[in-house]
Amino acid sequence: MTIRNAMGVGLLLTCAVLAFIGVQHTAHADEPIRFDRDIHPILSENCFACHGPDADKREADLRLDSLEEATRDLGGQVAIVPGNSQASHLIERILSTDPDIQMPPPKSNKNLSLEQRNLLRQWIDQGAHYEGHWSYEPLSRPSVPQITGAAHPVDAFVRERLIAEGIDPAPRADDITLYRRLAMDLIGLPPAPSEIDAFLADTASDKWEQYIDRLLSSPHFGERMAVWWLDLVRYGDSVGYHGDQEITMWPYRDWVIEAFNSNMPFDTFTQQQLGGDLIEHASLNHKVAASFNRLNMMSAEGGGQDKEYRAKYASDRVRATSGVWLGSTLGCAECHDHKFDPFTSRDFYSFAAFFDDVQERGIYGGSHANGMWGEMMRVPSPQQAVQQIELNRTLDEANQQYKSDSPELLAARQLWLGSIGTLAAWSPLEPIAASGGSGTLAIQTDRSILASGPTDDTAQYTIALKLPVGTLTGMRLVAMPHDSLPKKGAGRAGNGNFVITEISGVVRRIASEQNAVVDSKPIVFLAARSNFEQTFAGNLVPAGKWSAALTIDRDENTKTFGWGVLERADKLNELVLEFSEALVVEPDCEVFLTISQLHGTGHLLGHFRIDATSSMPTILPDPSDLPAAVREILVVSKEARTEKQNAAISEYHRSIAPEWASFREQQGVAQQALAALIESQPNMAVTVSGQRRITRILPRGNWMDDSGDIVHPATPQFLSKSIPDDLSSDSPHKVLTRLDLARWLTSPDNPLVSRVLANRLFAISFGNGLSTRLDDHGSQGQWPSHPQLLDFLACELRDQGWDIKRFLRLLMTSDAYCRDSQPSAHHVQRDPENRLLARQSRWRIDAESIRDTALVASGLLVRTIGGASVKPYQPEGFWDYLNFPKRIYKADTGDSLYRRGLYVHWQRQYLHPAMSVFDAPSREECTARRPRSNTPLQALVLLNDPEFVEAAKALAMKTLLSNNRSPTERADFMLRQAIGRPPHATEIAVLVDMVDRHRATLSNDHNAVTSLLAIGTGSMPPKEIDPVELTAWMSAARAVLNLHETYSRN
Amino acid sequence: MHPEIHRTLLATRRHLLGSMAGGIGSIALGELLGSRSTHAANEAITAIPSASIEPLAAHSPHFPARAKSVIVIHLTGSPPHLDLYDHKPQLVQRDGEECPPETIAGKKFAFTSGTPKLLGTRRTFVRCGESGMELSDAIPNLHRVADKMCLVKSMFTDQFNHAPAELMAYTGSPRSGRPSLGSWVTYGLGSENANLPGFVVLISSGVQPNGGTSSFGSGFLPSVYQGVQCRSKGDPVLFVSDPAGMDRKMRRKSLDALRDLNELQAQELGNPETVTRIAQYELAYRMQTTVPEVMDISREPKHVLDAYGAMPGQPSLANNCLLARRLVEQGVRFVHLFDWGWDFHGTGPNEDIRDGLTKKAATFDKPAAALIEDLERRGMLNDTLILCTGEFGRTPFREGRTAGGTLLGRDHYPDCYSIWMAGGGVKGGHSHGASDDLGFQVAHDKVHVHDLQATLLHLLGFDHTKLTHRFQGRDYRLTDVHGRVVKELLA
Repeated sequence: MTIRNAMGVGLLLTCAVLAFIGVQHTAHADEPIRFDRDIHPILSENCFACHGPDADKREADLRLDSLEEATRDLGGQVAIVPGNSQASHLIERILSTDPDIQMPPPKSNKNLSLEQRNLLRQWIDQGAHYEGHWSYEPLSRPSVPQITGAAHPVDAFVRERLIAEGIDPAPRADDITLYRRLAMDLIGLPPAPSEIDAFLADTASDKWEQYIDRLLSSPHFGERMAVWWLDLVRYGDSVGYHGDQEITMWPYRDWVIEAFNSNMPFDTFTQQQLGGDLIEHASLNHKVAASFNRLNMMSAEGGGQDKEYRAKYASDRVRATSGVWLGSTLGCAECHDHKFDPFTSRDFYSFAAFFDDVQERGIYGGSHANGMWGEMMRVPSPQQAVQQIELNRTLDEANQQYKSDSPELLAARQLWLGSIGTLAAWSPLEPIAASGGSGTLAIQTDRSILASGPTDDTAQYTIALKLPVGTLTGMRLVAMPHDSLPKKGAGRAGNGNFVITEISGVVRRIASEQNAVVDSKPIVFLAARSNFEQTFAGNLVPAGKWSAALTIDRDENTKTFGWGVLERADKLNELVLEFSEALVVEPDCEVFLTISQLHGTGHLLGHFRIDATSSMPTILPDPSDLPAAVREILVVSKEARTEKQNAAISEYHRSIAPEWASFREQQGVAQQALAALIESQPNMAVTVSGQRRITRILPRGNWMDDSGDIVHPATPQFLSKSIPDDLSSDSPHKVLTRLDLARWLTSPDNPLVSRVLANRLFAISFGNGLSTRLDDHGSQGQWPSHPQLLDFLACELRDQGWDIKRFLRLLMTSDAYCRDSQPSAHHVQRDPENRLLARQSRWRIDAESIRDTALVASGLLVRTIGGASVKPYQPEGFWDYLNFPKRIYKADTGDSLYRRGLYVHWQRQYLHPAMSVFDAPSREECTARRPRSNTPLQALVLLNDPEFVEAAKALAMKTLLSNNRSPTERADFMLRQAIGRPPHATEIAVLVDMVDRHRATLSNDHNAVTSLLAIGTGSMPPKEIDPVELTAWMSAARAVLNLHETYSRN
Repeated sequence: MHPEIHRTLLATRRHLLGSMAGGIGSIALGELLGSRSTHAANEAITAIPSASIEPLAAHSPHFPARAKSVIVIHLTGSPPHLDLYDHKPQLVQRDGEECPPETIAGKKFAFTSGTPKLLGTRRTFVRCGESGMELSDAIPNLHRVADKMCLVKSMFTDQFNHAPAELMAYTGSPRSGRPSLGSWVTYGLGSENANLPGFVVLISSGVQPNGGTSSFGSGFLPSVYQGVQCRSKGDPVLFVSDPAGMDRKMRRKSLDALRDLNELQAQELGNPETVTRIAQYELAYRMQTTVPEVMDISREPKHVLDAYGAMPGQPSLANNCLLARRLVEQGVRFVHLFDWGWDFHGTGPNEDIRDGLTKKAATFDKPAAALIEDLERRGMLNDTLILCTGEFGRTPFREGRTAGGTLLGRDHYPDCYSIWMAGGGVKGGHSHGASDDLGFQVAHDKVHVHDLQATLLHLLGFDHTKLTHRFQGRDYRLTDVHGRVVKELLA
């Protein structure tokens, strides 16, 4: 018993209360005791922790979860002697009051009631019959009881039990309640009053069935079912851990909606999610479905251990997958064998191994900045896919045109090649010393020279370089852009430019012993050429260009002019100096260059290199921006070039030929359009199968301990007995895949999946499962109120093609579904929890439906299906505490503000307050059932969240613009929008009275009217509506949109 | 109002009151009992206690409590305990030497590999108060209150990364999904002020805790027990302000009409949840006044603001310490402060254990000392337990990445660290346990985080093995299957 039980409520405990609890869960006095219903829960709760499946924690070598073990002789003591409670040691121990002997031991905080002890004794005396646990037993179809007046199978089972208990069922609910109930359950949206009216007016005898079918085929059905499914699979729009960065997963959400809408059979649905990527010729949709395997939380935390997080993700998948399909807490076996259920630790890791082909990292370092979370995939919408095919075709055409030849192009190519000739082969000279100006000229490892430090208006650089032995015909200065220089150019002027005004050179021979110049001869340059000459400010220079020739003209009149490159200052440029006669270099020769830069305003070289060549004259500069690979070919003489080399040259020529400019442009346009289209598509995390990781059993779940056995994919041992051979993990040649796992889950022999699914779908329709523990069908779960009915329904799913719509239709055509939800005093007393289904249940609807209901009532709802998640208004600064990176929430505008709650951006750590406050889960873990709380924070959201205030304004507008003129009519209209039923006169009177009071106050308070009407971004009221009247009715609408009934499903 | 409606409503209220006593009240009770007493059949989460049962009503614990409320000061990132609380002269002597192999063999560290070098503190330690507790010069204000502090120098935990370690410290498990300490306490004790949340979270230095909202989440407990983050910007509690144009009078009138309608529907449909809903609206209305009042520290006299170093309007740990006192004074059970910026790796000047620590400690030391003194002056210290901790400690060696630089920092360290408590039934001026000579291991009197949790619950009057909640077939508790009450810490 928990502490809270002992407090407060204990005083109010009444005998009556105890009595009805007894009715439901244990046998009648005249009924034989059943192990799985009556005894198993007692043993599981009180004994299994020490005497159950977990071998590590087992005390006294005694195991009570199997007949064989419990009846074993343990040194003269036998726990259970069937038929003889007096000889059974178990009975002796549970009856003892000696703290050393008493079981369960006092320190365990477990306590057997008198009734429980009696049950154990009677059960042993009746023969101690063990049975398998109800949910693990093979599933077979129970026969439907024959009950008069209960033709529907669901009703037959329900009525049989009610008759046995002597409880009369509630009458059928009225049509309005029924229709609203059906709409809430099947599409999650309240019906419009006009729809209700149509239903009431419909006289067809099968109108109920017709309306069920109509709602099942509504596109909103998939949305409603997705809300349920996304909780189970823990769908989110952020990664959850640490910085909780955003991630794109919504195409998966849309896939789920579509799967329900198209009534995809549940086995296919299962297969595609677990292993869609493994299906042969997997389609885009298959891959999107398989992103189920990437819905786990992920971390980009610096310092996080990769291995640790990979272990976390693995166990996350086991918890989620076993929770979703098996309704089992297999996750409990991460550190030890399960305490209550026959899952072993080996089962846990073998299950995890199914996913060890999913490519992923542990820590996604850097992902917080670049948004890449491992394997990602672009997902085009159907329209985008069509567009993409179009654009690819356009691009192909452009490519083809570009690849074609024309006589014009061939002629141009010959001309171009002729103008280049054969390129000179250059080799960089090794600098020995460099100086000049106030700054430093530093020799770099690539033999270039880089200027830094203080700079001057003008300067003269002197550079000494070693000369290789041989014959040289020319030199060149290569001006090289550098990141450290202004505008990332090659010069030191503010614009990245330089001007070489004069250049001269002397060849010197050095006697190595004395290290002295023994011979010195000036070089005479025949010509200076460059790849590019600046024309900007060309009017200042004689030829209209800052030309290379100026660097060797020795003209005093032009001594401040020279070679400049302003327009290309940030690219490679070269100045080629051809010698007037070939220079024969002997050993120990160096060249001493003087580079004058007298233009002024700091136009000095910043980064350059000196090369030499032995090529024959005339030596031409390289064409600008020639790629290195093309240059290498062009150095080879024309005749010697191979076919491949010629092809490469042609290819290059196409890329620069002015004649081909329009084709290049077409290509570029097509490429850009395609890139933009792809960029606009969601980029989602996907499952990619690859190299399998090794999965080991981690002792005590410790990820640092590598001593455990290596395991391979296998389904839990105790459940695998009746499974087809080819799915058996014993098969030595086959590594089971995720597809095998899916097949195993939905194979007819799997006892759990159909029961779990039937139970959960039942809960959608009745508020509670037949076993109310939707997340645990194991030993600690709950014995179903109607085990036969549950098995019948599970068979319906399994044997009728896993047809979800058919199944829901079956439930909803039953009388049980249609009963009034208002309990009679008799019901309250006999069955307060409504386990016996004498009536329907009523509940406060889910967070998403609350939002949707307000939007429907006000007419604001935008019914678009699918697409990127949306961001409604949210209090400023709500995300201030999110880090890595810091984020500012930007609410959407326009239609996106009025989409269904299902589409609200699911930030796992900072879920939108209107969602979390109404118990929407963070989706960090599989959630099979949401709590339904009732708190003051909910009142604050409904009262003050601008979304709801705006909805009230819209509802008021809708009311005033309707044909209703009198206050009474208007109040009636307004209430019906929200609650569906026609309101009573008293309700209308309260509302009208409220409007009167508010009108009186507001008519004197212009500011209040203006402020209230300014809330929200939607359309402003038309002129014909009086602002005071609108504001007064807005108050009424706010009351209506805060009513409990508005958000109740009855 | 029309007299006829008025009569109808009066009748409705009488009817409801009648139902409350016999009918509706017992329905809610029945649901509650059904879910809580038959463990094997139900989990409590399936039936949130209705407000008619008042989930946050004050409760008595298992035995008389030493503390009625708790203030946790969590220094997110984990402060360098060897530069604040645990003086290791031998480590200073051997500064710069390589770590002895046995100290690091087989261990993994977040950012350090190879053989790191020992790092002696650069701080001066001073013996303080009558007890002579040794504290560093980085926290001069705490010197004044040393005799109130209960210092534990033998803490250890299992986790060495921030997020899991923080979850371990506050939920007892390194994984998200379990209820936090504050939720357990609120679940067990309720709140003494129905107009305020029972569990309030205040965050300073702009970043949420490493464990995210799970560090103060309710896990599988009903969300009503979750920490309510009060913000320093905008509404302190989300949507607590009425929209512009709606004054209190109009709000009251609106709520009256809403209540009338809800009551009519409760009568029509006999749904007890509607009655609960009415109560929640009334509570929300009261919160709208109470919360902004208690969160407004400008109501404090100047000398109090000065003592804390608090400045109204500017979010800071100082403001939050003062707010913590105001909240506890109003009956809030659990106030959890998180202050970002204590991850002293030495990778930036703010994370250097010399000037960086001096600067950061100044934002904490003054308000923490002021909080202790303020509570004592008001006679609240005996009933209020303060806990000040990080998620783990920091290494006695220099962090690997920064070994070549000029800044001094330490890596994450789970094996031995220090925390302190004050008030609420713990011994003042007491130092418990010790680390070994170089600070690598606990030398004696080990205290695991689960032991600390057990001790905190004990001080609040709970047997930590009995404060449980059934979820997925298992009785969960804060201390998992571990935990020992450290009696030596108790006054």
